[in-house]
Amino acid sequence: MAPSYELVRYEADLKPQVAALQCHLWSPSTALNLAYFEWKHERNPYIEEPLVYLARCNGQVVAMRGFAGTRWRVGAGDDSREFTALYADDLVIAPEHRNRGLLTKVMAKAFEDLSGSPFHYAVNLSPGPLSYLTALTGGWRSVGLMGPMRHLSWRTVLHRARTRLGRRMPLLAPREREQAPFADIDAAWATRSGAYAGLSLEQAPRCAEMAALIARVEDERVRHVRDATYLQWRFQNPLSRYRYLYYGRQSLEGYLVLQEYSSDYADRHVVNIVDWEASSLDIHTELLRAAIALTRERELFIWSATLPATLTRLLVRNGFRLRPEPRSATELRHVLMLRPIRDVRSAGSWLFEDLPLAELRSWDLRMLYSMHG
Amino acid sequence: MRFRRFLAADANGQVRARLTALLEEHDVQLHDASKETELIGSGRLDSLGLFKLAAFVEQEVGREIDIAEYDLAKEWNTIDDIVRFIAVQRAGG
Repeated sequence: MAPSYELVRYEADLKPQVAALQCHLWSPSTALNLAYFEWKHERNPYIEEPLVYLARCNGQVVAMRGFAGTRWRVGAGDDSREFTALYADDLVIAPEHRNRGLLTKVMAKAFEDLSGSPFHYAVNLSPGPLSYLTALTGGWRSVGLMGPMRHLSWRTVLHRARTRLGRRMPLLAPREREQAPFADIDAAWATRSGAYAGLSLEQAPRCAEMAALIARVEDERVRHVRDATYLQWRFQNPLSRYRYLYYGRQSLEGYLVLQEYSSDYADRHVVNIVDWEASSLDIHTELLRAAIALTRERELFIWSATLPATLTRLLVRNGFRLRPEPRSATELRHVLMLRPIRDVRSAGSWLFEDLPLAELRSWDLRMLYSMHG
Repeated sequence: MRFRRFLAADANGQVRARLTALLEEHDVQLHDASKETELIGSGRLDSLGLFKLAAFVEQEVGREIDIAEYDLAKEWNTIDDIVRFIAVQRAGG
């Protein structure tokens, strides 16, 4: 007999079950999953309570989809306007309950419930191939690919090979201290910091200064509000670790944020540039060159689709190459997906004050806004 | 002209047979299905089924397809819709 499912909205007493379920998604550690859930859904600055939808079978949580709050700004100065959108994420279905249409059912329940909420849009920047396809049949639109660019050196290839060989021949494996979080980057900085006048590598975000710089340099496209409150919250993501390259001694004139994943499921060779701002091209250049030098045994990624052409050229000149875009429907992609919460068929639902949200040119997107960062 | 139409109808029949086999293999309930039975709108096709269907369509067409350009809920909603979609794509559509 087919199991029957109960679709419910999250309540606090279900938190341990949710953290256990997330072992199929984020991390094998329930403690880490719990910390992540509390950070993302309970301490989120833009929603009052978790918006998480669950499927239960015999009282056990077997599937979930979460919606985190995000706050977006359009325009500049006094003319800027803001709206809160829900970031659809945290999709997981227990293995023994897959292939039963649960994703479609949970999403239908979620949008039915959210139709009475004050939110107008749902966004997603990190769909897997299955959820991408399902979303396209459920009223979502694919706004555009994020154009991930990669910097890969021979040292990275060698380091990967050494790690792989080390699994069979432990003597060849990277030493434990080399595997500590950001150990290679911190060590590289310790030996080279003298070469970078005006730069510093730090372990803590300077949220107020970063927000002040952003306010000076941001353009008018749709972008996430990056004020001190947001940055303070954002950099506490338990599934990520960060290092901050800063430029400017008296006042902050530029920064570049490096990120690596903390989950045991993640590829530790990958470092993402999740945000990168500067008051001039020269400072952008300094920050980028330092980041490349410090991460020479890692694969360095950045999203380039909405960067200004000057920065894309700068990336190419410094060895970054566009990763081939997925062509097949069945491949993983970095893509912005958007869906009005209500009335997906109405053309007006896809506009925010006449701005076409379903067009990529309307957006300025950083990896920081997604769960990739 | 009539022969060409016959060949096209035959090709569509073969695609339909392979598609039905794929769906049945994926446990999509088709015993009560008609030509108009909705696969997507009714929720008969789950996410993995959709994934397999996308791979099937690409294999039948002989190239990768940017499905973001299409309204899948409409264009892949019934077996007839999918067979038609494949025929159009094969013809260069």
